[in-house]
Amino acid sequence: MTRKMKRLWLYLLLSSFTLSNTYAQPPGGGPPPRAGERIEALYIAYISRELKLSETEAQKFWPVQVEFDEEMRSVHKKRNLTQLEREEELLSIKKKYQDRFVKVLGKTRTDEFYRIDTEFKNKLVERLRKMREQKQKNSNTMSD
Amino acid sequence: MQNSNHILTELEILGSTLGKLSRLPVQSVPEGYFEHLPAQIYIQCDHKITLTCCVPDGYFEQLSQSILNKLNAPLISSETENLADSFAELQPGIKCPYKVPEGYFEHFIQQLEPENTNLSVLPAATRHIQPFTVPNGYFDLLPEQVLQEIKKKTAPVIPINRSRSVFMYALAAVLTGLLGISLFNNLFTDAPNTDSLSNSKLAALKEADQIIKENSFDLQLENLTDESIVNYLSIGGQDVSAALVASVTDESKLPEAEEYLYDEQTLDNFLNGLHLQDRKDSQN
Repeated sequence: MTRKMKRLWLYLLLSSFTLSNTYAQPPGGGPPPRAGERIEALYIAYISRELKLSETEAQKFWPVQVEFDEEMRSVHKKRNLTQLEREEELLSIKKKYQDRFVKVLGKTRTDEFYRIDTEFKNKLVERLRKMREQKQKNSNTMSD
Repeated sequence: MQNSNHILTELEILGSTLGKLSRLPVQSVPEGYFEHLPAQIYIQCDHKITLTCCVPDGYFEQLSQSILNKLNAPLISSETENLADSFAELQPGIKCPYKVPEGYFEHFIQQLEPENTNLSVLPAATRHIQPFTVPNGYFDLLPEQVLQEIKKKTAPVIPINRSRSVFMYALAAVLTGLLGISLFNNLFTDAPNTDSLSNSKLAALKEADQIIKENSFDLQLENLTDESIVNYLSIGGQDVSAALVASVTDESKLPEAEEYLYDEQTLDNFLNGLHLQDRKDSQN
């Protein structure tokens, strides 16, 4: 291999690294989403629909929301916290992310986001309750 | 001076024949030779050597004065004059043995002129003839010819490998462009940094987009399983049991007040209807 060819391969290698960094795309056509991912998709769809997020807003909002959600869940994983300590930490995280959410959504829509977030969880609870009631009815019918 | 006979004594003891020789000198010198030797040498020198050098009268008396005069004398531009004065001082009475005709040096240059020299007839006749000729317009064309010669002798130009140079510049431009685009996308745009999202989040975003487009939120919600909802809420720190009890807002579904009087198990039956026990089991 000549010296020129070696240089060419080196440049191609560097170019491929740069391209991979610039145009890396998430792999598509993967396995079907798991149940947790499906609920995540429903959550994203519900928030996007209720907040009427534009494409630009969504592109800025969801990375911040993901960071926020991970920090909130990390607090919930802590077992040695009292209820008060847990609520304090959750509140501090909300304060921490307030400015970032306001920057994307504005103050009113940020408050609306927290409300819609709770609303989605209530919908899940409601759905769970209905499922269990239906299950109870079915079991009662079978016992009769 | 005393004569020592030690060596002779030793030679005699040794029996050498030298010790038996008499001490008389072998060579003889005529009587009175050395007494008359200096006088003879002087006489011979006096007759053979005659002094050829002479010093002018009063030379040594005036020598110191002349040296001082030379040291103190001002610098004379002409070396010849200085020498002439020195000679004049040293021997004022001596005349130059050579005589120069009057005006000799004044007319010397004129004498050097060709007409005054004894040249042969041919050089004298040809002295004004220019033996070399220059072509017509030679000096007019000379600068141009010189320039042409200079151009011919210019340093050889070594050509650069153009193909290689273009190749390198093209590669450098491509790499710089890619690097610039990458930096611009990462640093100077407000585009979302979706690279920070995990693959599961990206898949969820994609599916959410599909749900919105198909408007299938309610349908998808009904298809969720009990377990997936419980897991999701638990991970989010939700107390599912409390949430389930709190979710019963329809008073018609709550037991009537009398029912609690009739049956002690009314509350348990109601809670069992919510399957709260399953929640506790799943937590354990």
